[in-house]
Amino acid sequence: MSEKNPQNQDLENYLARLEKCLMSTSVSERAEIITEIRSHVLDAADRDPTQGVRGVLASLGEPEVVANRYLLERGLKPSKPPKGPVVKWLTIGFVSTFGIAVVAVLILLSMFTPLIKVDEKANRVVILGGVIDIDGDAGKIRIGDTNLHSDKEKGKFEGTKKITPSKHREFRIDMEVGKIKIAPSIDDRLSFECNYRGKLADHDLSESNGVVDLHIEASGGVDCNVKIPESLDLGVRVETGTVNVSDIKRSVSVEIETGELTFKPETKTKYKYDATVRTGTIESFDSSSSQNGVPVQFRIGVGKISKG
Amino acid sequence: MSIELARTENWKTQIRKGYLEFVLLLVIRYEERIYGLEILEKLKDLGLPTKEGTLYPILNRLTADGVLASVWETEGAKGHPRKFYSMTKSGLKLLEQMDEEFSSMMRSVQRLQRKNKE
Repeated sequence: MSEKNPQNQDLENYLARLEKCLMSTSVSERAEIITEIRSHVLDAADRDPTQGVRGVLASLGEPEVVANRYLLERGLKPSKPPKGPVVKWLTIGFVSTFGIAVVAVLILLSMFTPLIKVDEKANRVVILGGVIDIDGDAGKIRIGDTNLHSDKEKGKFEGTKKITPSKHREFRIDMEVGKIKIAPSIDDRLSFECNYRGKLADHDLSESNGVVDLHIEASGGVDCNVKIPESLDLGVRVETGTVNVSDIKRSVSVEIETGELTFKPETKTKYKYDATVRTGTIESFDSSSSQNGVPVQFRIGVGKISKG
Repeated sequence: MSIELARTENWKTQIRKGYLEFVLLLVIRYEERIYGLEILEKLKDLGLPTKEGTLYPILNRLTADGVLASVWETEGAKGHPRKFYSMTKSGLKLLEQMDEEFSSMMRSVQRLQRKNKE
């Protein structure tokens, strides 16, 4: 064993450095990590004597890097290596330059003021001084110079699906740009009727694990009317557009990056609202304090939520 | 290394990070009881060579989260204690969910691949 002593000393030095970087973990956890790494190194060196302990340690990587991976995996702050003066001043220089760049961008952005304008009377959302313009009343969306809702309709697609409550629990619709109107159907059939403009890139109705998915991509935007049976929960995700949901008795989740949601509660249903608009406005909804309130979640990036 | 090759290698690294945990749990479930060095060897055989410095922190986190159970055993002759990992009930449930999500993703990808071939 004596010829292995220098290598074992390397191992102990490595583990000491590793342990030092793991001081933010508990004593018992640290001990387990050190024991496991020691065991791994000795095992791996035994299996491949040509590598030896030094080779295995090289493969493992610097102990500070390994320790930081442990800490990051556990959501703990990684330990920082000490910086030399050159690095310190380079960092200061970079941060200052970045700060100047941020100020310049803010000045440019202020030229587009107001950043977002919500006109509730006209039912309109205007973003970045008109770069994106969503006119809820006219049902028109404009992004830059492109009108996504022109009077020219290019095509139509529709579909229906019989829903079995024991088999189907949720309907999810995922759309890039457009307008959706969702209301309850009078029977057990899910149905949709969509007009699209531009090229229809993809339209797909699929089913997996109780969830019925409708995915739509059309370069010019889509205008859809959807009817869903009462037994289905509803999930909607739209990049840019307007969503109108009315009289749904089951749980609803709507996510719109840019645009507008109008939600009309079903009169006899008590809902528990969880609504967030990052930039824009939101009307107030009466949330039920009852345990049995139907969960409703709205997430709007830029835009508004109105009551229907 | 050319820019295209570097780009591809970078993409491969990123995508492997995404499914490493899923494959790791599949290996542990299949083996029922396995320790770190053996896991590395299995992953290498599967074409997913993984660095030790990446694997052990993940195993540590999964154990702390209750996804894996671990037990120390000392092999008499060598005396190196080894930490053996196995799946917990909670881990099996998580693996089932990962399996569903992965399958759903694969179906979407295959659909796109078919459309691209049309």
